[in-house]
Amino acid sequence: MTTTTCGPSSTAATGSAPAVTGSAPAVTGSAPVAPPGTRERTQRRVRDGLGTSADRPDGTPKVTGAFAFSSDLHDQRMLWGRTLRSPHAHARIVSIDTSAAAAMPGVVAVLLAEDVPGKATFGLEHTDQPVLARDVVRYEGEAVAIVAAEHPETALRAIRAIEVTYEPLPLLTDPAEAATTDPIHPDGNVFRTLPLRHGDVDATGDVVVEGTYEVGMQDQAFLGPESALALPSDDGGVELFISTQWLHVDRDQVAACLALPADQVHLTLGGVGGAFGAREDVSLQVHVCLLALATGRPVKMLYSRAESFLGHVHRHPARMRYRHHARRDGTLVKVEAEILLDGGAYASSSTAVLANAVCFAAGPYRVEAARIDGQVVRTNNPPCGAMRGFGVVQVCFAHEAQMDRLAAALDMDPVELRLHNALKPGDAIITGQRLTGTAPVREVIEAAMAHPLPPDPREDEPAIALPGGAGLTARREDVRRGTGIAVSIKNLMYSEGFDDYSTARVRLETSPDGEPFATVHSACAEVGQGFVTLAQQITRTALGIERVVLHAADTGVGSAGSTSASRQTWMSGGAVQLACDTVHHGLLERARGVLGVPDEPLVLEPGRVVDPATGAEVAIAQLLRAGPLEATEEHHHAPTSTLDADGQGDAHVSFAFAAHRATVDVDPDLGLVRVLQIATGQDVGRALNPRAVIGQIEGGIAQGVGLAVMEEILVEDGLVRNPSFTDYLIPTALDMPSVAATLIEQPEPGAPFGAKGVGEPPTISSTPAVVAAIRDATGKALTRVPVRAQDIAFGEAGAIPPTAGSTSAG
Amino acid sequence: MSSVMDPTKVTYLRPTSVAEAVDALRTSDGARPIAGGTDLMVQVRLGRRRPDTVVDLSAVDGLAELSEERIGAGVTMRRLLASEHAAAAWPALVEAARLLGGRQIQAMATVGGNLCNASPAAESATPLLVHDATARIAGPDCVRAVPLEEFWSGPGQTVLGPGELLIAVTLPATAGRSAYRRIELRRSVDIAVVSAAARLEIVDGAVAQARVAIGAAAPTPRRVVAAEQVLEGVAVGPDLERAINQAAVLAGDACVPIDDTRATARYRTAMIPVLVSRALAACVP
Repeated sequence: MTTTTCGPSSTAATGSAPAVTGSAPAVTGSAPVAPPGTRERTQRRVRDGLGTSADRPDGTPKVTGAFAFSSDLHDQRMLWGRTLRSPHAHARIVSIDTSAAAAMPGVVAVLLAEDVPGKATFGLEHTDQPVLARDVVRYEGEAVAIVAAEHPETALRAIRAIEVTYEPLPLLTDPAEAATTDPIHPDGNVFRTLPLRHGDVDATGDVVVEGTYEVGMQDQAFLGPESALALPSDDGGVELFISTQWLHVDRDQVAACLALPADQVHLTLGGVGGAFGAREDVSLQVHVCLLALATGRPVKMLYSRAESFLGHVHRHPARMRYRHHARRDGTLVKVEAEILLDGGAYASSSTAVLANAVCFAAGPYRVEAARIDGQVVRTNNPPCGAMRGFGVVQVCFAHEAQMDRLAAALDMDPVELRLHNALKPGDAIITGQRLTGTAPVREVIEAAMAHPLPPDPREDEPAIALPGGAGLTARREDVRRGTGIAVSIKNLMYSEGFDDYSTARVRLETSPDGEPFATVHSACAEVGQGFVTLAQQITRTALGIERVVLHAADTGVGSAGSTSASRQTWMSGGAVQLACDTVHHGLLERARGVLGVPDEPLVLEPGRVVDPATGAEVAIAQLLRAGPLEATEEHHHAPTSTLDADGQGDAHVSFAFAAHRATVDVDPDLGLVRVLQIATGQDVGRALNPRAVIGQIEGGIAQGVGLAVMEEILVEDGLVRNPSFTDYLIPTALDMPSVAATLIEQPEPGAPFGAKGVGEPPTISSTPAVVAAIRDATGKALTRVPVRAQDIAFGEAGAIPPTAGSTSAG
Repeated sequence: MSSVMDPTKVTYLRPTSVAEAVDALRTSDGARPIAGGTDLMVQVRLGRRRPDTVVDLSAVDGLAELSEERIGAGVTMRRLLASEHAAAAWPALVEAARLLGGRQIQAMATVGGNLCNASPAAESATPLLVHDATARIAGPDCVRAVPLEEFWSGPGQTVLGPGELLIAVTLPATAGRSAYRRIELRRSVDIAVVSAAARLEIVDGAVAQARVAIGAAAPTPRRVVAAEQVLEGVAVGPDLERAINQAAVLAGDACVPIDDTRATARYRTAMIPVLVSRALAACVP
């Protein structure tokens, strides 16, 4: 078990390089993880291999500012592209006059829908979104025209010189009305309806609690706005440098819209300044390539912050009605839920988001029966799609509030209630799928609760430490402290039969100075999660060499799938491992030849291959004199099935669990909150780079705290009212709680190195934990996130009484 | 419709004296002074302002003067934060300066710019109101003095006429403590949802002079004279506690706030009494 305490106001020891030790009998202590194929015991370990907190290769340049983000892309001859966007949430385009814009000096191209040579629409699962709107615009910010000009300001003036006549159409902004309102798109207003029936759906419990919950629209709020550079290539195709999450799915959509064969569209990853799901959909990819081909010149596009808010998908707002049934002893009998997600104007990944919301509607608990009805609909609100937590964030907020209500109704400790119902290996979730892997739900809860609570407030604490922060508004004597707990389950990898495989190429050779080095070529998008570090660690450990070069991520190698669904360590890490195994095998073959021992089991050690029987050895560099060794391998996860008409089926690959205990200080009169501490236990399988895992946990908690107390895109009549970082608030260092984390390491069967994805769980249950803590401190019901100051100041008192361990500060 | 500033069509002037600056501002109706630019440049980017002439005040002689009774319009928040005199004489102002943006903004933003931008939430406004500041305005013919509470005419609007320039605020020597309180939805680097400043001068155990001002609660920052009146003459102790509560309620009555993305008018109205009472309590020795 690895325990670290970190964060700006941490009082405990800070673990910069925590030691990894086992938390369960199955764990093998602190030895670096050996991939299959290198299981022969190695005598010495390579530096910065698996299990160590190896440094990021891009760490220093990112800290010093030398790292080139995609917004830094530049070409001497490049033009600047710009997008004209609809100011209306729903309108018919009556006419478009581009003559004034086209006549402006310095304007090189002005393109409309009719200039799209290939497929007119794009989309991740359903291609329902026009590249450029032709007849109707369905949300504020929908792209209508694009221009390329010699100077970015000229491009901006040119789009403003395009005259578009709109005829406003009736707005559909209430998702509850979508199914019964006239279709606002030829494909209809319902993206997906998903019923789930599990067990005896007519069963009832001794105790029933009901609640209605709402989640607002969160933005991924990455700091690097959308940007790309497209260059026409000699073969009539296009070269695109782009910050994205999945190069190959971008390539396929660009090729289809440009009417080019896929091999004439080559994508290379630009430096990514955060993603969190917002870069999974096409934003400017097709536009910038269209402009490059139309002008025959390199074209750069770079969104402004306001444009970025309109130019990418957001987290689905949700309305949820829940009913939990339990026996007197707390055993869950049935969970009923109606879940309505607002998908906005276009489909994006809405159907998959809904599947997650429905499958995990009951949380990480054993439930005998479930009746869940989920629907995701089209409206004239901003399109919603992938965001860290992907449909589970919404239902977790609801089911965890329900668990607290149930605990109150049963007069039971909320932690006890959760432990009593916690899933364990062999149990089934409400889709009927059995947990065949690890499921340390009890362990994550106990680990979160085992951390010491933050110390009581000190009289001499500076006023800025109180709720209200720098505004100096709160007074110590008014502040009340509360704690809350929440627990989550999240699927890893894609679900419902999708084969999201990954490819990696590994080449081992010697440099001119005679030293062996490996090159890893993967299309995995590094978005900050640390795959670049992991790929090096895997290769070092597998091949016994220290020098590992990363080939630029591009479409010159097979797909790696998306950097989402907490899947790249498992999928692309696994692909690198497979390629290394093949190279490793080739190395041993050569060594057997050189050593003249055709049948001996040889051992790879750092820099050499050893025959343990004789002690004879040969250097890796020598083995490579015969030429480089190279392998390209695909890694597929175990197949999954679709969900049947009752939402039943083995639709998921693997599951990860996390628990969060939040401690908050609240000034109830002002409605202001300070989140003091998040203590967490997280199921990570194996921590392949403990520091990187802690980084994911802290970052995920920052986003979870943001949704709990401040982050929301405000939409009124389909129009975004706060598209700026002045008005869309995200946490700063002062808002970040201290984090005390325990990593539960139980290697996951079937997972490369036993490691589970770790990126999403910290975001999921941290939000409901914070809100539970605010309820504890204030007694308010708080059924909506983000919790606003006015919700606390004026909110209805709730039926959710204090949890155990609650104290009153002051 | 182009709302974008065309940099090739903007005249840039950099006067070195107040007289030159006033002349420069009169060259065009579309002339705007620029000091730190922390508001103006944002407005230009958003297309809300399109000055055809920018008058850079950074070289104007004397504009950044800071003395015991005068704060030049060009004095930055950072200068105030570094000033021992400001900390001792105008604590509310220094508390507000510390809250204005982040470090970079504080290094650029000036008192004059903050007042002339005329946001109802302007950080330096309510502290200067409780310190009885007077605006010194240079025009083509003379310098006139306007009590600060009469300086604003609405959100984003001041009494400055064509060619007029705020050159300083002057402050009488005031006694007693002052304090500034604001509500922000994030723990730092945010804009005030509502704010309040207060000052109490206590002589022989009773309030000799009281000042209360509220921000982001009305179209302009404003003093609440009714609240001040119930405090003056009251002896420190339970009477003053009662008077503070009364003053807080009167300040709430003076609110005419708006609903916006940050908070509802109802929340603002409810918070003003809390802030006023806490600011006043902080002024009692």
